Amino acid sequence: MSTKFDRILKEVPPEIKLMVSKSFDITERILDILDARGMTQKEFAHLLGKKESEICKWMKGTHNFTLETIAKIEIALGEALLEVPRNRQLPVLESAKQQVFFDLLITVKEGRLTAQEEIEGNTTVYIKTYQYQQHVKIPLVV
Amino acid sequence: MNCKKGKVIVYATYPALTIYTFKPRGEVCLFDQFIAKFENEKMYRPSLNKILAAIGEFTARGINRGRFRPQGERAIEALPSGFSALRLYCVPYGEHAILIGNGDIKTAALVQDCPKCGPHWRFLTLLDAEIQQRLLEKEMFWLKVNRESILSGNMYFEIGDCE
Repeated sequence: MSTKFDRILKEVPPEIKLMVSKSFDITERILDILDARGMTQKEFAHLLGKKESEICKWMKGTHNFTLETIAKIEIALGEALLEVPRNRQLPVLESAKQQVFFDLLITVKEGRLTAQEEIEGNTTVYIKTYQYQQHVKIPLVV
Repeated sequence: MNCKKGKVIVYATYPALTIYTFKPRGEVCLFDQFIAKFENEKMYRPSLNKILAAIGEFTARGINRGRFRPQGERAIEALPSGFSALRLYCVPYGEHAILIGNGDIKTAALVQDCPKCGPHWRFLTLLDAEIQQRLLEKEMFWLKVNRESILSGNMYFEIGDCE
């Protein structure tokens, strides 16, 4: 049977739920770091120049952390709290200066395929799903 | 404090959390009283949303002990709502159980001095003390059912001046 809490929770805007969920993620990460170092919340507060009561409030999971606060915590702890996924592909070889273009024939096998090319000892694996056979041109950095 | 008679009930059970609350005789339970008080309050509804979202997270993750007071120090906890003064009082029992009481707008620095929150905080303090006493005397106990621990035994209470 659904409770009043369940019913009202359903009405909570998704952005609030996501904000609180991310606040829980951040505070859990902080708690894990403190735990691994045997550091108390009082010591952590001292490190940030904050009152212990403020840190206690953060840990309850409803605090809306600003990027500035997160940056201060990351610097104080020397650890990343947030990892932002990047869309851009990293080059195969970071020190490469030349780009080589080549045709890669991709064939469909049970809806999923793997093409593998070996370039001067560095193996690059491409995995992608296609509906039909096609030629693709992939810029490569070697 | 005025006499309040009623019982501690299981409000709901979720994958990682069982919520308990107190149901005064002839009234709805304290947790529902709190929600009803603010669900239609335009000014405090966003704060209520945050508190309920936090409880929603607890139901899925359980309660990390580090979120509350230092280990071993028993205290009534307040679930805050960011910068707002709305408070909901509760007592976590380990990682998978929480007793939720009532709450209100905190208008004083110390909850003891707050005319709105003070009574809710005092009631939960007395109720928790009585629960601890009953657990010690085995009048109440944690009953293991499969992998869950259910608070059992004498769940009826008379809190306050009930002579």
